[in-house]
Amino acid sequence: MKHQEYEYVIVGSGVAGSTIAERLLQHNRATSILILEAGPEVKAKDRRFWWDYVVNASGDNSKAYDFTCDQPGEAKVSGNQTFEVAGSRVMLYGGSTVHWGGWCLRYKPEDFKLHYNTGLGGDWPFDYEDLFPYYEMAEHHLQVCGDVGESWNQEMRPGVPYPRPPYWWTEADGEMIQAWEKNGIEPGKMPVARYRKCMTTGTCKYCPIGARFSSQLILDELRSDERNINLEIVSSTPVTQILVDSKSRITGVEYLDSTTGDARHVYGRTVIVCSGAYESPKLLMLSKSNYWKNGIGNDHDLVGRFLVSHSILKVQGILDHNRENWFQEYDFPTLMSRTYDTPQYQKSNKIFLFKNRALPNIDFAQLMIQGKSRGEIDAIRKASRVQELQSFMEETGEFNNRVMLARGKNRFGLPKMEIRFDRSKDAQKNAENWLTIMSKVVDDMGYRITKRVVDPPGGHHATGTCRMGATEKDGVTDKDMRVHGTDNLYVCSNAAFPSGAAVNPTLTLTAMAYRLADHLIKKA
Amino acid sequence: MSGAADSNDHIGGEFCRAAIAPGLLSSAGQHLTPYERNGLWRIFQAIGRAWDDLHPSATDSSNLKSTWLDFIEAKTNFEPSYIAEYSNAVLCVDELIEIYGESNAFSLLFFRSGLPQQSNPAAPPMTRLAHAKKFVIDEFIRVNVVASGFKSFGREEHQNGVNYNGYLGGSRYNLKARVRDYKPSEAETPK
Repeated sequence: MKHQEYEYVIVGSGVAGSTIAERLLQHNRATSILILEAGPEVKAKDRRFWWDYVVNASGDNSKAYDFTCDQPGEAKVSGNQTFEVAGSRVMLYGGSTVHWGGWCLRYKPEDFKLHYNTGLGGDWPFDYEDLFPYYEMAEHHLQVCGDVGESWNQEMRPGVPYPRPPYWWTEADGEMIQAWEKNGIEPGKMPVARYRKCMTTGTCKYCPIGARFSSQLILDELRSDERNINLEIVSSTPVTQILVDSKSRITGVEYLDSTTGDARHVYGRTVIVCSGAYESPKLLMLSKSNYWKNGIGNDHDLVGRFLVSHSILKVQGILDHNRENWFQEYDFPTLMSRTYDTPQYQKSNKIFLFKNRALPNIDFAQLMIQGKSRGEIDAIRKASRVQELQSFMEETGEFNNRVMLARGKNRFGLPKMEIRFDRSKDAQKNAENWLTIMSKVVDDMGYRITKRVVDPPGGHHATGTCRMGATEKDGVTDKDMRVHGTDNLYVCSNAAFPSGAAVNPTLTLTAMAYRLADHLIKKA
Repeated sequence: MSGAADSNDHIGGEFCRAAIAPGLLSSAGQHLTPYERNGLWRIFQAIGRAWDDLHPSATDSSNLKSTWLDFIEAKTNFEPSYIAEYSNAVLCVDELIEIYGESNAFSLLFFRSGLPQQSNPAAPPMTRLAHAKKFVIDEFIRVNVVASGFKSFGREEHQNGVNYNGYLGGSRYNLKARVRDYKPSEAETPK
């Protein structure tokens, strides 16, 4: 490290860490910031990596960064469901924005009052209105496209346009739109982070948009800007402990030297943990001292608890012709609805509806590789088509659903984890009710239903494990995401969310990162 | 040809049927010659013709050449290099053309090669022709489809890529209007 002490030590280089660093440096270019990333730096904008991904048929382990995903069996899981960890996050320079889908939806006002409205889960210690200006900043940062004319936007963003115009629906969306309208479901256009520069990291084989946001670009730009003389970003450097010299004062972190594996210390006046819903609570739990016997912020045994997962509901059907030649060439999402994402349905685990982004589809190249002629392929594509209606179902934080430390270390030098997760009986019952409603839509499309499932819970949108609360008995962090009982330790991560809502969390996390950066600037 | 069990029980002559190890051929110190580059381009063009997935206004794959060259550069300038595989594929195709004539050679290669990979993509490539199929032909097919060949499969009566319009909002090449915009009914319109 260049310095012994930094103004800010940020643990994790994903969208939260990179957004905070950028905002702090925009305020004062001389600010000293150290970003420590546990994972490696995988080369971006690499044509060879991208082409290898394109021509690899299997899709598994075909992306340059796939080796940074959790592998099956790396985490110990228990509960009444098989909690899926593998493939839901990546650990590298840029964090999970390197492989995300770019879906960018605001949480709705009722999501901030889940417990108040339903008696379930947690409440945020502030309202949607408090986050409103930061949502705007986040949408510009991520260059979100969308359609302001949708009815739900009249409540959430009256008169506030999206930075980019929406993607149009595809022809293959048309028949589902008609079935939705028949069932009183308003169709909308999926808001996606439609960014300015492609990092070709392997999320897509076709490109209709130019790019999707990746934090790698932000980090690259910050690093190459000569004005940022006191910024340092170090990859392959897992942080293993937070250091204290009193109950309330954090002094820095312990990390593993990437070349020797030795534990070293670096000091910071403020430490911000931006390590996601798994690693953030693990780091707090690891940080035991005479002042914090059970880990920092864990005097009330709340760290790691209230793990929230998104359930994915799927209803798939088949039609015995495809006369229109519809197929979804691009594997990009276009059609969605927030009709059931309202306060009315909050108590019954509300859902966010969307069409499967990859259907209907046929792997034409594979048929060609198998030696099928043009005529044979044309016959196959006209013979039938498959469509699938999907949704994310909001789940609520339960005390016993949790992330814990497990014995041993993973490939990155971080402790292994154990996850305990039960899906509640009410959630299972509500999921079945939603599947019935979704099945009616697919049936109204004239399709024969072939699949009707609730996927196992998983870590793709995990939240809640260091949740905000008004007091240390309600949550690990306060309304500014500062760990209760400390002066200068923050958790800026999905981990701090008291509820998971029905939509993807990244836009809200980015807004929270802006909010925290402004808090820190004001505090300084 | 003897039985289907033999890994070299496929089209081609002595060179194509020669047994080699299944892994990527070593390219250490090699360079792609202009002859080989032209030979590879001939294979890529033959794919567009064989599956008729060219743009309606195109007579060959020339409009995809810059994309194809980008692919070739990436595969030959960075490790693991495909130069030896490319050289091998060109020699295989040369032999096939010598035996069957150009038109028949490509037709046999793409549709009736007798290679075990055609029915079982996971089968290891144990001959020179099997290598050409796995490391060159199959990858060129995917490049062809990604580069724009996919659009032709949405084509009906000379229209190109009916779904494609939805994403790009229409380009000067589009022949079909994009999907209608959603207009809420009167009942859904907020008062």
